[in-house]
Amino acid sequence: MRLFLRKIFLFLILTLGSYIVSINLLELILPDIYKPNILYQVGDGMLKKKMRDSERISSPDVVFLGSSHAYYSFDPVFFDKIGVSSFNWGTSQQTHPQTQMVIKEYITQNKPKLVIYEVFPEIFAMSGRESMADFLNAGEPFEVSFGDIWHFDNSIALINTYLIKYSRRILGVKDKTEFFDDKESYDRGFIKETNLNNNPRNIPMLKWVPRENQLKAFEENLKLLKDLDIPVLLVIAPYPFDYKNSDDFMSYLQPKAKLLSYKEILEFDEIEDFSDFHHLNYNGVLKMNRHLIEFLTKNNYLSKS
Amino acid sequence: MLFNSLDFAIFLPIVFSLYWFIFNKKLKWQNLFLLIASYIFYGWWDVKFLILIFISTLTDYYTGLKIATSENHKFRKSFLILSIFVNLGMLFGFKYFNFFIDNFNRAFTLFGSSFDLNTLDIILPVGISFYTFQTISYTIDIYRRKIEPTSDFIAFSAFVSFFPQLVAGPIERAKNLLPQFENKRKFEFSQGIDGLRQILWGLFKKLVIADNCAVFVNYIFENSADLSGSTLLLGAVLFIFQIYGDFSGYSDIAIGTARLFGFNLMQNFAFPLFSRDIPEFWRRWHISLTTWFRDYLYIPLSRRGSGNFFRIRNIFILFLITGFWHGAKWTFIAWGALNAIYFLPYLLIRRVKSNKGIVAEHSIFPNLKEIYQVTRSFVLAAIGIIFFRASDIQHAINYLIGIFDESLFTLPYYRGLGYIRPLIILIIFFMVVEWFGRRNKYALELVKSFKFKSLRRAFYFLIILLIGLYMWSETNDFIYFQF
Repeated sequence: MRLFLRKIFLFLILTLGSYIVSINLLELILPDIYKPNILYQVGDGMLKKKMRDSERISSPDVVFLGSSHAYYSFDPVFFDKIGVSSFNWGTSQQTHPQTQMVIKEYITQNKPKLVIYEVFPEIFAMSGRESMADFLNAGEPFEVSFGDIWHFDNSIALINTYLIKYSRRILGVKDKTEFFDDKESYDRGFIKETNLNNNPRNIPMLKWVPRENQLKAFEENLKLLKDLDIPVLLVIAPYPFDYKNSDDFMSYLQPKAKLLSYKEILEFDEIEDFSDFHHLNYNGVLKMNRHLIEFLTKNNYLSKS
Repeated sequence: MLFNSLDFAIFLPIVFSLYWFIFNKKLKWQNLFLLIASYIFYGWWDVKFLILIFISTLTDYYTGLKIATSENHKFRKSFLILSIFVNLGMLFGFKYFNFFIDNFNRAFTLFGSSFDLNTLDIILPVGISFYTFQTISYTIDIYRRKIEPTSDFIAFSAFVSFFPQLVAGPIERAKNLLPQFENKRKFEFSQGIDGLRQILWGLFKKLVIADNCAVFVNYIFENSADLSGSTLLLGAVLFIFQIYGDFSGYSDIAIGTARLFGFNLMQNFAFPLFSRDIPEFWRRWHISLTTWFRDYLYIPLSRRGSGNFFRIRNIFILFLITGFWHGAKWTFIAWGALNAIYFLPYLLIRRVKSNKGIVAEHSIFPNLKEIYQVTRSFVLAAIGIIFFRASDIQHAINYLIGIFDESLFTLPYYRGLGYIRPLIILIIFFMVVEWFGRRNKYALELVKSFKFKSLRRAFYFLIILLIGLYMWSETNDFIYFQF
């Protein structure tokens, strides 16, 4: 028995060391599709860039929250024109528990006059592990402990990310994510995309099946903002496909806060206004932001506080 | 408690350590400790489930003793009937009652009258189909005088509730497992290593192959009306890999875990995807269930008449009940019927056992004939399995019609299907290991034949690395838990 335990213990120690070395190497050489459980570079460092920027741009009037639909859709330049400062806190695949981290770390301190909360049906159906990895990579003030990861639905992807992050830190290897500043299309959290969606796809209708933890976190976020006395506007950015039960999504959101659905308010061209099968390009951004500014001005959203 | 959960990852080393370091002095302690651990394992789902397993245990312990102590045929038979009635009664109540009520109500509606019997609001206790069958076989074997009953209640209770195989088998026979509870176990190094190796392979099958296939299978089956024939075919093929990886993976973990505690369980899967015909497939798939039905259903039925009529009848009864055992749905019955139809030609031309050994027994690669035979069996199994996975009969028929469409000759496509590339490579790796390991009891056992220790360790590490890189991160239940 002792021999058995000793051999197993040695094997495990050796395996752990080899495992850490292997995933670090594979992270460098494998294309993304072949490393689904290594999320080390997820978000490409945009979150870190936003963290640095948010220190410079203190107390903006409007803050945008949400996923990539938020950072591809809301352009602070439009708000500059009416004398309103804004900052886009949308991050890649940001789900509601991570939005909560932004609210707690950033909104609570800066107290904007309005929060525009982008809501996309798919986000409610996601586990959020990619976004969690993004926040884990970004580090302080969004500290994610090993305990948080361990309880995250057995997520080996987050454990791998954690191992890579800390092994690199120990070895003093610099992150690739430090170089996001090179992107010219970036402005205060917004990303300007000019490509057209030249290969539109016929996407079959899916059923919207939200996760309990996402609904819970979303409702907690609205309550947190209410407690902070910050008005919230929910916005659905357009996407050129449908869900079998879109009505369920709408009837869930409507009682929660004022809701603008740009899937219904304006018409968007699947090729001209999108850069891919679900993100707006700048043509679409122009249409949507013009209407949004008009709506906010008309309804005195920006002068209420 | 799922085998692929953090709870089990903590539970197993604790139970293992206490079993071998604290409770290893006496046989009674070993059995009592295993019984307590098994009840904790099972009660983790719902403590109320323990009542059922205790009823089953008590009934069969008592009826077993009664049957053995009497020479009176009627007396013996009445206790056998009591055992079968209690076990099948529980199974019927929890698993099949609502099915019969639903169909009863529907049948009345068809004839224009309204009849509305209420169904029961109950949940299906995990593993009830497995342990009830295990205990029934115990009393039947005593009745047939094949085994002697045990008078050790603790050993018997531990036999019924032994946690590695409690919820999804293998469905053990008392003749094999019970004597192992009646003899003190001693730890053997080679057995421990073998157990861990089989657990590792089971985890790979479940976490990497089955769970990743499930992502595509779920999407394809849920959106089958909108997808091309080739995509639907891909869904059916992936589902074969999913269910094989899921269930045989579970069996490997169960058998490996039992070995850690000094027990040898029966082989439950013998590389069925390399079968050359349907009878061979059924000799290699879920062996503990098929042999159970063979011994306690098919052979007794065969004694009641010979000739083609009886043989055909018996095969249909066997497969319909096998299908129904899997679940109280018409889709499972249809799956059973389809397999009976597949089986029939072999039965009629008396070639049920024409392929006895393993494929390519004396060579490394199969010949063209064997490739054709294996492909044919695989395609037939894939078509049949559509009924197993479909939500209802109409869904299965539409799915089949959807496959045999002109779009069958296009490339499979839907948004997100691009992510299948690593899975295809993993399935190829999986099949290569299974192929070269097909002469063993489980594929990874082939590593034992590697000449160098370092090569063996490197291969284990590769499997662990693949699990770390490709396991589906969300915890999925084992498919067979629902049965």
